Amino acid sequence: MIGRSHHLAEERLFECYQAQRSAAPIDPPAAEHLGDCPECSARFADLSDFMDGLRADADTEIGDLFTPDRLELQRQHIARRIARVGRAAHIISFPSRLVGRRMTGAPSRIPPRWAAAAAAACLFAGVAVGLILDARTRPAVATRVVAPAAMPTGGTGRAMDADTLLSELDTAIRRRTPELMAFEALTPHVREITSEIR
Amino acid sequence: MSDYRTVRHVDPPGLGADGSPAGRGHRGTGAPPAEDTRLAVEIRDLVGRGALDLARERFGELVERHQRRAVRIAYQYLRDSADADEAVQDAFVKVFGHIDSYREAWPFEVWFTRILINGCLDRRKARARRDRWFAPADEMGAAAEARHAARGTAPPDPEARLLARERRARLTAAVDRLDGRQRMVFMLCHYGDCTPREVSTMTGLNESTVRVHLFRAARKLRRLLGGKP
Repeated sequence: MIGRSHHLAEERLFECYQAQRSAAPIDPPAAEHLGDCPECSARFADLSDFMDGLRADADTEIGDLFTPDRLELQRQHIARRIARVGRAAHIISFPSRLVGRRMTGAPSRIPPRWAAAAAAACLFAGVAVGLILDARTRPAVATRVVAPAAMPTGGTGRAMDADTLLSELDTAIRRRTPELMAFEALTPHVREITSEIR
Repeated sequence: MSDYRTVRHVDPPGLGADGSPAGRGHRGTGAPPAEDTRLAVEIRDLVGRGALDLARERFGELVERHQRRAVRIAYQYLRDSADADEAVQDAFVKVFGHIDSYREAWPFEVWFTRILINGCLDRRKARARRDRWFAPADEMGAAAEARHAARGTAPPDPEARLLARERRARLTAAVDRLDGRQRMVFMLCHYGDCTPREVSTMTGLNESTVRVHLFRAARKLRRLLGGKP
C-alpha cells in the first residue's frame, strides 16, 4: 500500500504508462494509488498525453510520407529484387551479326610504305605551290621590306627610316585586313617601344 | 550532430559463419513461436528444398506483415523517406538472401529488426558524411501537399503546417540529443512497438537496463520539449 503522502515516483509512473500501453496489468499498489491520488492521476495523465502525442505525431508523419500506394510500390520493388536472389547472373548474348564473322588476325597498325612517300610528295608540292603564289601576290611588300636592309646605318636617320617603314606597313595592313585592326590595336608597336627607349 | 559512438552495431543473428545464435543477448524470448516465425521457418525450408518461387510467394506475406513497422522504425532513424524506403527494401532482401541461416530460437521479428537497424545505422553514418556537402530538402511539406492533392482535400492552413513542421523539427532535434542507447531503446519501444524484453533480446542489453534507458529517454525528451519531467 502506498500512502497518500508518498506520491508515485516518475519511474513508477512511466512503468504504469508502459504497462497500460502494452495492455498489461498495472502493478496493483500503483493502480490503487493512481485511483486514490488526484495529483498522481494528473501527472499520469500528463505523461500519457505527452507520450501519446509523440506517437500520434510520428504516425501522422509516416502516414503522409508512406501512402498505401507507396507501400505497394515498395512491396513490388522488394518482390523484384528477391526474384533475382538465387539466380545466376544474366549473360548478355554477343551481337548475332558478329557471331559468324571470322577473325583472320589482328589488323596491322604499321602503314604501308607508299603512304609515307605520298605524304612527302604532297608536302613538297604544297610548299612549292605556296611559294609561287606568295611571290605572285605580294611583290610590292616584299621589295619594301628588303629596302631598309640596304639603308646606310646612322643614329637618327635609321630611326626615321624605321618609322617610315612601320607606317607603310600600317597602311598596307589597314588596306588589306581591316578586320584585324582590333587585334593590331592591342599589340605593342615597335615604334612606341623605340621612342620610349630614346 | 548525433552521437554514434554509443550505438554499437548489433550482430544479426544467423548471419554468422555457423548461423547459430551465440554470445550475449542471443537468446529467445521464451514465448511460443509467433506466426511470422513459423512462416520464416517454412520459407527457409522451401529455399532449402529449392522451391524458390513458392518461398518468394510466402515471403510476400512476411513483407506485408512487417512492412509498416519496418518503415516506421527506419523513418524514425533516418528522418528521410527515400533513405527509409531503401533501408527497408535492403533489410527484406537481405533477410531473404540469408533465410537459410535463420534459426527459430529467435523470433523472426527480433532477427529482422536487428538487420534493419544495422542497415539504418550504416545509412546514418553515410548520410552524416554526405550532409556536410548537401543541404537536406523539406520533403514533409511536399509530401503533405501531394497527399492532400491526391485525396482532393484542402491542405491544412499554412500556420498549422508551420507549427507541425516546427514541432517535428524540435522532436527530431530532441531525439538526436539522446544518448545513442537511449535513442535506440526509445525508438524500438515507442515507435517499433517492441517490449523491453524484445529490445533486450535485440540489443543484448539487460531487460532492466532497457527499462532504465527508456525511462531516461522519455524524461529527457519531456524536459527538452517543454513537458513536465
